[in-house]
Amino acid sequence: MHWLETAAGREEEAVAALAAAPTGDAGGELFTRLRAWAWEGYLCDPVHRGNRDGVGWARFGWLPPAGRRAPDR
Amino acid sequence: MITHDAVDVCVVGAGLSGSIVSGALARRGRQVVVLEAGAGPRPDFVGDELAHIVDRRLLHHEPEVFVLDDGPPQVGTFLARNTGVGGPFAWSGFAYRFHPSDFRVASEAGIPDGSSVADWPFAYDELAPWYERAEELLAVGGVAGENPYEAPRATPYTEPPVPQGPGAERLAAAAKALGWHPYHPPAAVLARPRPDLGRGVCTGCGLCTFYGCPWEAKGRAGTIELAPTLQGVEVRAGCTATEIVCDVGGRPVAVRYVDARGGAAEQPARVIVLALNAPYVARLLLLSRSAAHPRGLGNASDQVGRHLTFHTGLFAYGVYDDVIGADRHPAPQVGVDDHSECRPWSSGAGFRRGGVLHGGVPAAFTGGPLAFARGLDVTIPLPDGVSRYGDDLLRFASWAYPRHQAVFALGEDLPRAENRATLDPEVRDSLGLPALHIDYSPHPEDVAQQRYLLDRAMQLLRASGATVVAGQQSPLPGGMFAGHAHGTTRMGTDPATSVTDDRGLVHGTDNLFVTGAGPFVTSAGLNPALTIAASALRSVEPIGAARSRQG
Repeated sequence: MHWLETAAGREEEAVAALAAAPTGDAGGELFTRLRAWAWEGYLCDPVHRGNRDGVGWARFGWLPPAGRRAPDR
Repeated sequence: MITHDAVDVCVVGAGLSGSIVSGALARRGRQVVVLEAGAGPRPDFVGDELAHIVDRRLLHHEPEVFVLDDGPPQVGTFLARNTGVGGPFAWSGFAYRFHPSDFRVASEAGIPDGSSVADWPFAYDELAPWYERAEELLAVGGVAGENPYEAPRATPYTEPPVPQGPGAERLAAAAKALGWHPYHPPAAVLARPRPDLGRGVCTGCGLCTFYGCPWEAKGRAGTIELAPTLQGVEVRAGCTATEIVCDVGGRPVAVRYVDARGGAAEQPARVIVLALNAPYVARLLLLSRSAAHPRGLGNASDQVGRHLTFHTGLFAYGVYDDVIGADRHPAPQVGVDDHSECRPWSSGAGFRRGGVLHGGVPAAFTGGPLAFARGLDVTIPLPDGVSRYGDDLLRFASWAYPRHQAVFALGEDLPRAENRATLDPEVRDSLGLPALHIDYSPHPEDVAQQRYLLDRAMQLLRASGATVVAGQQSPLPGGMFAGHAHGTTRMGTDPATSVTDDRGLVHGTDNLFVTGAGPFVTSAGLNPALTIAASALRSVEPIGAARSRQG
């Protein structure tokens, strides 16, 4: 059974366990990777299909400078 | 294997020094070929954080092995090496002249036990005219005399400095209150357009370090008048040098490389110039073993790869109650040089050579919220009490991003003979060749220096009104600054203790030169780009003369 399935309904507990894993430990590495992916989805240019309508950018008070947007794909 | 027709000069690397040398030699009528492992003259300059912060598209990605303090080998990509024809693209634009004392550290500070500190084989005055020429080529701006410790200069800067934003102004006022002497850092970032150079003015977009500039406000080799593409140089992108080939007598005669299609090729040349990132020059020399050079080319006295220095790197950041917008500026905003050279030593700080402080930029060293948020708790420390995930982290990140700024310290790294770039016996690069192996232990005085500079960075932020402050060493092993590497082909007059002469000619050869930061004897506590450019300009004449001697 996949670990995500075992954690169903206990997601907060699972994330807390990963976050508590020592640096360098596989759990710690997974936590860092998952968090990085979450940030990338939340704050990437919407052409990459995350950050829909710039919701993450708005939360950070940031707009991409004119002429610096990623090209549409 | 494809063997090309022989040319006058083959230059390996199309960054700053390789471009200067190749363009200048072509202007003198030499037939020059440049081999560049990276992309062609203008990669995409989009402001996409996924491309440039996550994927680091303008930097190399080869595996490297780093051994810190004789500990276990760590495998990763540790060095931030610019890639691409006409670079550097991903740099910040700081364009300093080294202080006169930086060329005579042994004479001024002595030789600390356990270090291999030495004087350079020439003094600041020898390089001064070449600094002036380099500043002209890169259109460096600044305010002469504003930094009381800057190297003497015969002429003022020809360009105005980068305007300071509100955060930098706040730091400058705080530095003055502390009795320091803040200044506009000399920078190859334009505060006014230069259409004669094809360069526009900085728009303050903030997506600067790690990015190319679509307006060419940030200087690079591709925009100078000596740019190889403007001087008729044949530049072959996507070509990675793998060996310097020698004849039976041991004389360098060609560069062997893997071309953009993955095929083996060889470029014979009467003169060869290695213009790579310093540790990679050493690696290429060590890869060039032959019967005549069983320890590697230029390595008869076992000096290749030694005396490797980076810079000590550390930073602190502070968050203010109001929005300061430090994410809307290039990195050269405000500098403090009061803690460089031997000045802290005289106050009993426990180390001899200090470093420079730069402030007014985001903690990720570039603008963009993803760079900041993704770096939190990884390369940017979280303040005490902030959760590592969830709503608490999001609240802090989104609140702090527009309200924060950082102060970075860049310190001189004392050379040690044991700090060395070699070939790793196990890990291979993408071509199957031995990966770069780095053995490194910071000198004890550098450790003391790091603590001192971090304290000064935090002191400055607090004095400027920051309400939350956190700081740490750079995340590179040993707290080293990833973007600057020097030494490994140290210059000197004695072949027993150096690899090249004072112009970069490899001892024991008459046609193999090294440019870039490899020949640096010591690292100074300042950004190296302008010294790399000036040294390359100074080497053009002897390289041209070496070609003439070949008939």
